[in-house]
Amino acid sequence: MEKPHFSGFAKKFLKKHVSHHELAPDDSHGMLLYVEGVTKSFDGFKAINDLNLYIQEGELRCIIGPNGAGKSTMMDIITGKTKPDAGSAWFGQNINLLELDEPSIAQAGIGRKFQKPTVFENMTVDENLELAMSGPKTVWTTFKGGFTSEQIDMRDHVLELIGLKALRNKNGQVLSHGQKQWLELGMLLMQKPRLLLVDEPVTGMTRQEMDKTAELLLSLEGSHTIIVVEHDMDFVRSIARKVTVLHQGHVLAEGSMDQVQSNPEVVEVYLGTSQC
Amino acid sequence: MLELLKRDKKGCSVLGVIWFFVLLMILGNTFFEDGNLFYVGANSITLVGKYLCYALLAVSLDLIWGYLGILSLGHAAFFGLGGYVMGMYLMRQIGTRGVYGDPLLPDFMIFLNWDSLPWYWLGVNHFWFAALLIVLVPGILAFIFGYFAFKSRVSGVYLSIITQALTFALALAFYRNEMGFGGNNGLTDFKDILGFSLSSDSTRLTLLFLSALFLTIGYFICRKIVSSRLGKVATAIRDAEMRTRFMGYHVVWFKLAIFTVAAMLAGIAGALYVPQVGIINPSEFNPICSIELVIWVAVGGRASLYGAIVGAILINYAKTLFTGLFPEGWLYALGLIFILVTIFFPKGIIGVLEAIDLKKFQKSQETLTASVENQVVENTTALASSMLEKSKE
Repeated sequence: MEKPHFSGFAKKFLKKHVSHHELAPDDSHGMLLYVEGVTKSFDGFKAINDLNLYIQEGELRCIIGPNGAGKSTMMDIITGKTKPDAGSAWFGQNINLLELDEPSIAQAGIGRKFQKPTVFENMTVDENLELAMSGPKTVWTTFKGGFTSEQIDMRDHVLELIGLKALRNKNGQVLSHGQKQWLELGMLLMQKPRLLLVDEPVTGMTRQEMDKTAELLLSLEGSHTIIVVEHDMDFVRSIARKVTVLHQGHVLAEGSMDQVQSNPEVVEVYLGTSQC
Repeated sequence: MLELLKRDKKGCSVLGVIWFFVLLMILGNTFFEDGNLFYVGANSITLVGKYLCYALLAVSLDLIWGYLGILSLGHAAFFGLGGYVMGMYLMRQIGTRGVYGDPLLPDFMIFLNWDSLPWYWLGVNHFWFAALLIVLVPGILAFIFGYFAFKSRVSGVYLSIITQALTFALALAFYRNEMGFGGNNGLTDFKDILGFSLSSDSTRLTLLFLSALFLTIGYFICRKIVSSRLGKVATAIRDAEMRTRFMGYHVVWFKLAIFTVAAMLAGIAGALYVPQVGIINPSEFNPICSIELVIWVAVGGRASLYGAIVGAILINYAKTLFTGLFPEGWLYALGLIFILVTIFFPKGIIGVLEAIDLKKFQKSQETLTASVENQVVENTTALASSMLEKSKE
């Protein structure tokens, strides 16, 4: 093993602790996310087993799979919550995700929407969005406070996009379930992420709310790279260009919705385990 | 700043009432003779001064508990440390007036047959240096302790328990004579501060005034923090720490900064407390002190800052009255108050005052969110487990 060079160490330290928010993924090859040979086991159970996933810049990718297929663990690994036992995960060609902690990964441009919406209930819609606002997020800058006019514009723009303008001064707790999901998506957008990880965005939504969410996600396609994890097949069909099927921590099939659905292995996994 | 005052009417009125009484006491002592109805004696002055120090301590706890969700069951340790630094300064001011008349060594060191001053006592005879240490010692301890605790993501009840261990460890250390802080007896027999006699009324009045002043300053520092964006991030950490991390906030530094500020304020409160009561000893580090402190804030009303002031003053006033009448019963009474308040008025006295307006009452019932209830359950469990430990000893 190579001896760590001091200046190299200092650079790495600075990169990690000081200038992390200036890190930007290098996507000159058109790929934004590389996940290669990742394995993660919990108490002997392989939640992720030699997983390979490549996401192109500007792509909208849907990931489906039965319960326990490793979808959430995969998200945890990409966002730094869990460290894998083996494999590598790179954001662009220059950012090694396995070296960074959650806040640094978020600052580098990966945003995550959780399965269960966790908006801040005691804060207004506006305040929720402001909290997620991109920009330096240090103790001192937040203490000094204040927003630039661009930031205010951006907040208003996102507010428009998620359709919660009328509720901007209401507390998070008065929002309906669907509205919370949209607010959470809005907060994600406020972070100006390059890559959005969206975990089950339509759980518990009505038909109309689902359509609206599909519309919202499709409008982001191209300007953002999006990974959607979802159970609802109708919803996936309505937005998917390319679908990845996970099964037992491994990629079972990849392709368009029709290709995937006619794949005999996928049919077996789905018909054998659930009614989806 | 003015904008801040305008938006904080309740806090300003609480502080206004305090200043009204403080000025009344100053006038009462200066212009009336003993025996007159309006005369204010030395005892009342130090008593109120003591309450105000407690109030500052309570505000600093509310900053980390109410807004950051860190239930510290060892926060009074920082108060004790600030107090000890002030005690060391006051000890050095005694000079040759001690029983043994040594110009350099305090009496207890002569008693231990020490022939020179330990290194950590050097320099504390200069007031500026002592003043620096009053904020630095609690601040640095809080920073180091907090760094390891927050870095390894200890939170909730576990954090409460290790804060309690911290204060207990300090108590055990300070009880030892070899530590060089007077052991069991602590530091006492102070004579004067900056050349002013501690037993004169004018010094006491000045200390009372300074206590009120630092309470006001400390309150507004905390108010400024919680009403800035930093305060919003703090509440976000309190309500959903993981979520805040995924938004790109390095939670450790936020917790650390606020925790350290709170410890420094507690240190200042302790330093003002010691010259007024005339003694500092290791009993200030007893876990029970920190637990009482938590009860003041809970009773006054969490996450309001002024609630902590109200709680600290009222509970301590009640303690003064109660211990005069029925000394053994105080802890039972305190426990009862705490239980009743958490069950019936989860938002404390402040919540009740706000609820007098019926409209506001309905609203407060609505905003009584699950997070508050969970916190109460969590806190009660932490308190119960620490009490259990107490009873085992």
